[in-house]
Amino acid sequence: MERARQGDVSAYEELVHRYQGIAFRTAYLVAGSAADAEEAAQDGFVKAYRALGRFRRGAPFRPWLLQIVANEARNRRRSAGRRAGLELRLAGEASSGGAAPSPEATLVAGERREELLAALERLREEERLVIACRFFLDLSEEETAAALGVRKGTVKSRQSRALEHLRVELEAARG
Amino acid sequence: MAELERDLRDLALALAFPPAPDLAPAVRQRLAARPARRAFPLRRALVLGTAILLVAVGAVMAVPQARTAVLEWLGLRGVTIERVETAPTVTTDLQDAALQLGEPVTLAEARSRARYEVAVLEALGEPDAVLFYPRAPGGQVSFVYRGEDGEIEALVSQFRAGLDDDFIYKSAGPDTKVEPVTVDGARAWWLEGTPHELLYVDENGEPIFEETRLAENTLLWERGDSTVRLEGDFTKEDALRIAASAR
Repeated sequence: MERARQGDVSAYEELVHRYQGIAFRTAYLVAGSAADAEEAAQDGFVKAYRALGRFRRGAPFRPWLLQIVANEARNRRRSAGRRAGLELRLAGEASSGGAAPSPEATLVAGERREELLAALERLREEERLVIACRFFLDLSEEETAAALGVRKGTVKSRQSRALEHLRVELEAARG
Repeated sequence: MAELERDLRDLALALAFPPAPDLAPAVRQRLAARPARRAFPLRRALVLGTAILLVAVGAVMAVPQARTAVLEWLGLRGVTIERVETAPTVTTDLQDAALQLGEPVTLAEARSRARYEVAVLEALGEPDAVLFYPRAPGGQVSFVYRGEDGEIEALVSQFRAGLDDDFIYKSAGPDTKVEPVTVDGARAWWLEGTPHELLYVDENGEPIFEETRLAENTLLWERGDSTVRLEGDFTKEDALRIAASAR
């Protein structure tokens, strides 16, 4: 980090390697398109580097980077006029680890996940995003706040509201 | 609720994100176009201009995934201008942006709070509003000039820039003309054409996202230890004449 601050591009490249996965996925959640997410993450890394001279020494880099990347992603989504759906689907071979479950159990688990994903899509965008950042990307509250451009307290309250709404949606769907 | 949270974590394991691309080559190419963050002196920038352009074009050809490859780096104290292949996306315009330039103050107040000598551009007359934004280096002072219909016709912003800090980050698309000029003997840049994108970084290192906006034609110049930005629908000649009226 310190070497990157002093203009060492190869040191910065290590940071790019370390954080590009999370940067891309955060951008993807916000932008809803892989092409836009790639551009947003790339631009975010370049801008973050340019701004490193003003980066507070000792502060965590990841939330700061995600803030820049997510903002790039939001701009792209807005200019494309895209609705911010999650654009996520289940992988073909979904396994939650452990011993191979019976075909029946796999089917039930798969249905349960589909149901949950569908319920999530029915939430408002801001609630959907807070759930996705916290549970799918495993971002901290601080990182989620940075990525969504809100205060940490807002993340807390929005998350509990979103979980509550999600529960209601699921109950309605399951009858 | 705990069960729901468990289900969400279980769902996370089963989700398919598109594969994350390797961004490092493209980022490296873009950074290589200007390795240090330190803005280099104008004379060097002019000499290096062609060489950088050639290197960057070569880089773009070598790395097709560099979608918004840098074609040129131009430095002015406190300002970085990145020349990109695709014009930046724009969501708001000057009219909206002016609302985010800080709190309204009197000129005397702005002068006492800014940590540099605040210039007024006599050719523009009295501003309709003076705004102060304390988070910018030295405090940013903006003058807003409105036409008879109330629309903003000109915007002047001034801040104190450090020698090796990028305060404003602009990127200019292929149709934006970027031309080195001088104002009162000091180095300056004239940007004309399609929108340029802005990113600010405050004194605490926090990125400031005024909405990405449509900056109209822009003249940027150094004055004493501050940097001044004049935006509006001006010709280059008009902008230079206005800049020369700074007192």
